[in-house]
Amino acid sequence: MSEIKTESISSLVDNYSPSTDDSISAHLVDNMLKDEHLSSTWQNYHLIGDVLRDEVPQSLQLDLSETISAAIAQEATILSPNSSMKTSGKNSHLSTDENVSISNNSAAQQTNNVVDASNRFKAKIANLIKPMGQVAIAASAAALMIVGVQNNVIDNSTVTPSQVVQTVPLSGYANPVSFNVQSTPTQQSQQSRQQTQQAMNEQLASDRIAQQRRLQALLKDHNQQVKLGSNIK
Amino acid sequence: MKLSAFLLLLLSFNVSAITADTESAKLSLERLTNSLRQLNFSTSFVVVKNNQAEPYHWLHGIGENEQELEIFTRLNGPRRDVLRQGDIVSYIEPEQEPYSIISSDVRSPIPTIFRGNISELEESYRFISVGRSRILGRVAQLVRIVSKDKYRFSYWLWLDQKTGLLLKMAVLTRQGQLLEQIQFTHIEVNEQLTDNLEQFQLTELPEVVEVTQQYNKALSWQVDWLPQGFTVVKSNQHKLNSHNQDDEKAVEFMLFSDGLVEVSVYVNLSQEKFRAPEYASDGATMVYNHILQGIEVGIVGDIPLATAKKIAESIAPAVIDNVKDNALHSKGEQQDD
Repeated sequence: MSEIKTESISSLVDNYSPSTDDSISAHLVDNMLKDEHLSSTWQNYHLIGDVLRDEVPQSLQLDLSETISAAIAQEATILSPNSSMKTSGKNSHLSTDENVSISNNSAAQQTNNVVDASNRFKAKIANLIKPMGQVAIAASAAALMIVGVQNNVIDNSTVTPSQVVQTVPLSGYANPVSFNVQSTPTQQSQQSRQQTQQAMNEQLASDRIAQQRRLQALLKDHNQQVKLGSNIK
Repeated sequence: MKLSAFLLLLLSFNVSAITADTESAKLSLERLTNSLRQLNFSTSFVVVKNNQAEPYHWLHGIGENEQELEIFTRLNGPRRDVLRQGDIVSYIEPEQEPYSIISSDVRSPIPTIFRGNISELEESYRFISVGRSRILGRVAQLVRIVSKDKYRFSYWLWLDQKTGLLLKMAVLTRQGQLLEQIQFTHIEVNEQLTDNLEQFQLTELPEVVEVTQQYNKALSWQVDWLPQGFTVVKSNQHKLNSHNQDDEKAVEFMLFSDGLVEVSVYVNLSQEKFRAPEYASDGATMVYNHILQGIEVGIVGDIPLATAKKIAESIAPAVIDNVKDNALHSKGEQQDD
């Protein structure tokens, strides 16, 4: 579960919503706000992203979220990407200067943070195209693989049920061959239902064993016959 | 941009597929045949199926008097060896006493046809040379053996550019689902016979058993449908002993082969009138069983489920006379039993 979440966070950081599960992506942000682990993951992914994009300010502040939220509280005017661009444009030369000198002044730090935030927004927009291109390449690579495999399959129009082939090991292992358990009638009371369920399970188990034996006998005999079969040729 | 890139890739692939050379594929396969027969090699490979990996050793060499020597050894679990000196093939298995039979081919994870006449497969399969890749640190030529119809699996072979030997093999469905894989992990080709085979040459194999075949015994059932290219290898009646159960049942048995794949068909009358189809797969091998109108049919072979089912449903009473009414009548009688 958490793996899926971190994956979703990763894709959120990369600026496209996770395709794995809609319910997860919908509640992801909420979860992230509540869950400390997830929010730290979010933070780390952004840091990684920044390092990769070479956007790390020289004064590296590991915990930006608090200062950023304070900055956002002050600078509530950053509403659209355009305004953020303007802000960043205004402050860009200023920010580079400021970044070089490590400022201990709290006020300076605040502007710095705002700049960081706006820089990041800008980077996001600039990189919006990049993932699209990557997706395109990845998609065509995947399509190529599928096409490669299905190259000679085009005339196969009917869907053969071999896709549902049971991959349960047969020879030498005790695993029963899996089949769907039929659902019990709903009218029955809880207890009798449990009893019948149990009886059915036992019945099913013995059926399975019998079935397993039948199939295994066939497989064994087949192998044997193939060995001896070569005699005739 | 996205779409055009995709189309370009699609196009380039199709073009390469069209130009894929069937002739060179066949030459590669013939080279494999020769290498498997003539080289002194010792190899290790792993059979991957059912989420399990089974390691094997495979030694081959040419001994005195041009006699072929061959050893297959399964390395995990109980010993399961196949030994071969020329035409004598010995099977050492946990279930029974070691025995030998006179045979030209060996039942091993490597299909026998690869050392036989590969052109036998041309009726049912196409050979396609696809391209080169790197397998086991060597340059490998990928050759696909693709079924002409939808009733069989496809086989991909990666063949060593240098020695012609097999480096990897995969069995896939037509949809591209991987069922079974053989990956070689070590290959060594020598000028001289290896010590193991030198020693093996002097070993006496278990006694040869005479396999008595019941011929000319008319079977009361016949298979009305098989994919094209399958021919009868043999048919007989024998007892099928179920897994440590006393009730041995007599079955009518037919073995079919298309050169690459063997399919067994078992038919017997059953007390039960009906049993829903049951099946299980062991890698690429499908085991199918059902009872329809009091007739129990079992199908085993490296074929898709749909094919097994279609074969099973085509089982009909053997028509000895030309009159079809007779057959239908006898079918009715047998149901009453």
